[in-house]
Amino acid sequence: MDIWGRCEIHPLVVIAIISGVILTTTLFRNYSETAISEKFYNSLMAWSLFILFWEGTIYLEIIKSMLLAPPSVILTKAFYFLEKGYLQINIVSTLRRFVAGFFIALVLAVPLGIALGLFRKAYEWIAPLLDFIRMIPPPAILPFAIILLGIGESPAVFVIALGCFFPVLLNTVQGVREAEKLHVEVVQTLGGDRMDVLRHVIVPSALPTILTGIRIGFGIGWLVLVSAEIVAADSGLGFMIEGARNRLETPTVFVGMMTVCAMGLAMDVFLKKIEGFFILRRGGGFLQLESGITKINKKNNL
Amino acid sequence: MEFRKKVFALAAVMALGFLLLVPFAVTYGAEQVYDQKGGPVDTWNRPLEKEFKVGEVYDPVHFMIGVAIGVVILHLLKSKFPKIVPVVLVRALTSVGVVLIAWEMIVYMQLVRSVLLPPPTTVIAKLQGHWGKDYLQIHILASLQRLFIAFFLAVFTGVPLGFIVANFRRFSDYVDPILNLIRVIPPPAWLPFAILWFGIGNPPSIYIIWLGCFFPIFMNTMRGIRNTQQIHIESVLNLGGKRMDVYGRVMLPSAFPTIFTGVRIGFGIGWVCLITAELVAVDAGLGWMIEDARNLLDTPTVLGGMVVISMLGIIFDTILRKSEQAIVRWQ
Repeated sequence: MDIWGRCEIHPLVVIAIISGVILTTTLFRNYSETAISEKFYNSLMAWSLFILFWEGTIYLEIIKSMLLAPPSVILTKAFYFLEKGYLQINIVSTLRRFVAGFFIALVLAVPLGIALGLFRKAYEWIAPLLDFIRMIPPPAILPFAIILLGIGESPAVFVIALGCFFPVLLNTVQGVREAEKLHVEVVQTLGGDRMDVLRHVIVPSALPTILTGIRIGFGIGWLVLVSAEIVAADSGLGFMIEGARNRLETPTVFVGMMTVCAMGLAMDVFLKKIEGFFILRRGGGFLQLESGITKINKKNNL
Repeated sequence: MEFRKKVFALAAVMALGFLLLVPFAVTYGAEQVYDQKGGPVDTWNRPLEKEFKVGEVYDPVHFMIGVAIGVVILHLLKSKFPKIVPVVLVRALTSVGVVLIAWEMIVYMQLVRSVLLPPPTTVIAKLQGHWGKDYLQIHILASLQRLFIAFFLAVFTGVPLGFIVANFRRFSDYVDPILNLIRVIPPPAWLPFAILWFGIGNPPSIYIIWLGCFFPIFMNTMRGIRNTQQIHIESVLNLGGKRMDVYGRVMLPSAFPTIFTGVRIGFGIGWVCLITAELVAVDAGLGWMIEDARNLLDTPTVLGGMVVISMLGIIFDTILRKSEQAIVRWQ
């Protein structure tokens, strides 16, 4: 069993700890039922049993350790990479690439979406073309992007931007169109010009929809990011996973996957928080309109 | 009763499709068939022509004039018979035509090198050549077979599992945390493992596509069934209905639109995952064709493959959208 040769955490230790957790929580729960809620207890049990099963089957050599690395080895590998700085380098380059693509998409898609939402005629002419490009999955554009831009950062950033672009654009258009006619007319009656309508009515009312689009775009961009890094990059978590696959280093593959998973989860939670904040504010949409009206009145010296 | 018939009809269609796919699934080692003919697909059938020259098959000037005339004729037709010619079609074809002319013009005036961006005429000629040599058909069929096997598998696993998880709290408490973790990992990140576990070929890509399709279908089924109105369930129970009545007559009908939305979203994500998996893990299929052409700097095939992929995507999306509208209309 050479896979545990340099492993600092012995598999039996993991098995013992997990069994201990299961035993103590069960005993504690029997002692006082209200201390631990049933949901928490059940999910803890699910996790513990899952890890126990995982570690146990490999320790008993029911599954080959080459095909499925046990948690103890994965943890050791992760700590080793963290210590050497290998994981950090890959995380930073993945994040840089993703943020670049994401922001390019936002900067292009939001203004374009507002413009297309306002000018219906233009949107009707451009929509079929957009549909045509939207239906090409971003990974399919990857080979072409590599020919155009060469191996390295640029094709990956291009494809990520493309993946994020369309959800944001379509949601922005929809949000702008759903702005209440009445609010627009209120601002216009009070002597507001087009910029006032845009600033005080359309953008605030479209904001929640735009944020939903951003979250969907984030999900697709994250999926595309990994596939782009597997095919067309020389750094990053996807590259790390693919390289480890070529060297048959199963624990490293797992470390990479878990990192991708954790980062995606963290960003998703963050975006959901932002979205929740703005949707809460939308409840006071009328108040917002009121403050906008006072601003317009001030500008017109009323 | 009306609704039940619809559900049964849909289930019958799906089962039929699944049965039709079983022979494919059993003989998924299609490579072996090609082996008997002499080597895998790529070596015996890859069209290795010399470099296409601009304007060799179709004259670019004629092409541009032809497209322009076509657009003008379309507009004339629309103004003559406004009721027969749909406005959407006119708009779509006009904007596509304008872009085609602009694209051809850019290359014709040598603003871009034709190796980097081949003009539409070259792409069309290349696609025609591939179709004539049965090269395109092989890849389209390989992709579709893979996609449909995985998609039907996802429907057949996702809907029942979602139903169970939504109805049995204890089970869901155990399964939810683990599924939630797996859901967040992007399917392409599973590729190395899929290759490690299943080898190169169809099974890893089917696994990836299944993962992509499964979670939207599963999540939407769960959400739809959890959102069933409690009053409806209670009224059925009050009137002496059994548990099966609640499942069949209340929960499924009320969750059906949500489930179908999940199926549509799942198909879209599966379509993305299909291409990703084909770029890496197989030796036939549209994604493979593009990647292979990229390696040979055969840009017309790359662009042509993209056009074919986009067309297929539009067709499937339209079919799913239309059937969704037709099925959900009763709501």
